[in-house]
Amino acid sequence: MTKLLVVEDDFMDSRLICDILKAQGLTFHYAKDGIEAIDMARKMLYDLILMDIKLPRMDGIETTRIIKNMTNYKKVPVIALTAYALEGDKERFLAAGLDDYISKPFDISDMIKKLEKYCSHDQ
Amino acid sequence: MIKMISNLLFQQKKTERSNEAIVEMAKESEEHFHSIIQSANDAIITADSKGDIIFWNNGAQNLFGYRDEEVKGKNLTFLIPERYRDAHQKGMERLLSTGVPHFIGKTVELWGLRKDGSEVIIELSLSTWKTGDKVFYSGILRDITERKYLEKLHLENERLAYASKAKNDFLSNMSHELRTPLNAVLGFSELLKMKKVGNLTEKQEEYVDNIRYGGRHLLNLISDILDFSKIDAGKMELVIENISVPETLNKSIVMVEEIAKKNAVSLKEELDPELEFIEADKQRFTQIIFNLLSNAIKFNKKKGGTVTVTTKTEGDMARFSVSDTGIGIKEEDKNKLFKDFEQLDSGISRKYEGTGLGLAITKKLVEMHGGKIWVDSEFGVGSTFTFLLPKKANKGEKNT
Repeated sequence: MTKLLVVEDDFMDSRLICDILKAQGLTFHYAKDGIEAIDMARKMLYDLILMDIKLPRMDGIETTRIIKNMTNYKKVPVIALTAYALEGDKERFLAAGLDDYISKPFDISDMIKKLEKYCSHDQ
Repeated sequence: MIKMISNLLFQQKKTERSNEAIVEMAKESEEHFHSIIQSANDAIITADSKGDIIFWNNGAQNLFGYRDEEVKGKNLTFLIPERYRDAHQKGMERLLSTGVPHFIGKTVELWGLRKDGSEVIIELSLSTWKTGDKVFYSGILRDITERKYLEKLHLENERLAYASKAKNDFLSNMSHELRTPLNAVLGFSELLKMKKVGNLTEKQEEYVDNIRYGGRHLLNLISDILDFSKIDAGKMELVIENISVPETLNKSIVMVEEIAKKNAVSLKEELDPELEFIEADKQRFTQIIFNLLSNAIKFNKKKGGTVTVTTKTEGDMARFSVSDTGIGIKEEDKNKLFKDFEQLDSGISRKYEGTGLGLAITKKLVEMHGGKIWVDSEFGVGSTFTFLLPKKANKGEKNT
């Protein structure tokens, strides 16, 4: 079973992701900001992280950088969820260690495809 | 006795010689320092405690235009623009009475008055010394007109960069803010449509479709407005690469297949086999073609219309055309076409929906590549939008 961590601060967006993941039969843990995410990532090794970029206190890019530097997290894929869609943003994300990028508003079938891709490495 | 006299004479000669040597040394030293002062680029002026000029070097002559004979013994005030003389006087008086200098040992900026009446901005470095009970002032002055100009430019550049960054941040933030609520609208309505939370009656499904339709339209509007703002603000950069013409065209065609089918419009391709590659921004090129294609489909015959995509190599240019069998465009409307926010007839525009920005953006994107776009049309028969792009682009093209 893929251990999935979702980091998202917006109320509506978190409800939406929740329902999409549930509809796919995926279970997950949830953090509402970067600090909480880092804490949870430390306590348990996740297989996949969905990271909202615009987070309060510490943004998603910084959070990703910190998590990716933690032991065992180098190979764990982190997918950015973001409404930022200007050029240069994608490069910024990839440079910070994000492995992929799902833009908001979600294209649900695209999101499902990506989830299947990253969740398919089931041990 | 003679020995004593000859000794004395010898001593005298020795003293004379060492006196000569001392005088020689003094002369050399004097010449040395004199040369330093006269060859210096900066103006060096010395004055007595009253402010009367004692010494005036070549640099001072170059700076103010007066020769040494014209200024010796005169008071410094003539070098100061009239409006500042009062303040200068007061400063000198204070100096004489308190002995406390205002800006000795510091560097100050002030205005000077030249012989020809023009003013010059000067940096002054002032020092003082005492000989016996007499006080002297020495000033080193430098024309800093150029430095001031560069400082101003630098400040202006900083200000512009800051304003530009603020605007960019605004665009970036707006992009984010506008897309966020749409996520809820489109996401939840899509989940409904996918029947992931239960089945839908026909009427419910219709309502859901309406919500998605409105949401999609809003999303297109936002994208277009942001694109347009970006181009307008000069913030759009093209990523030029070698792209395959048939491959990229096919991608765009696939993207419009569904709406073509819905509108019963058939899509045709007439690709020049000689036109394989061009240097362009892949995303923007796709956007141009997609925009022309969706217009051609939208503004086509109700049923049985055709949209044809043609490519042709023309020397060092590549020509692309998208034609439709639609209502065509009246001659007088042709130049309104590429302007922002004008759809030709607001009655029609409501029916055909669209942002009104599509062609304006397309035109700008074509022009950013160094190309040209225009339309040929026969009212009631159809229209053909044609654009030319240079096959080899200027690398790293930024729009102006």
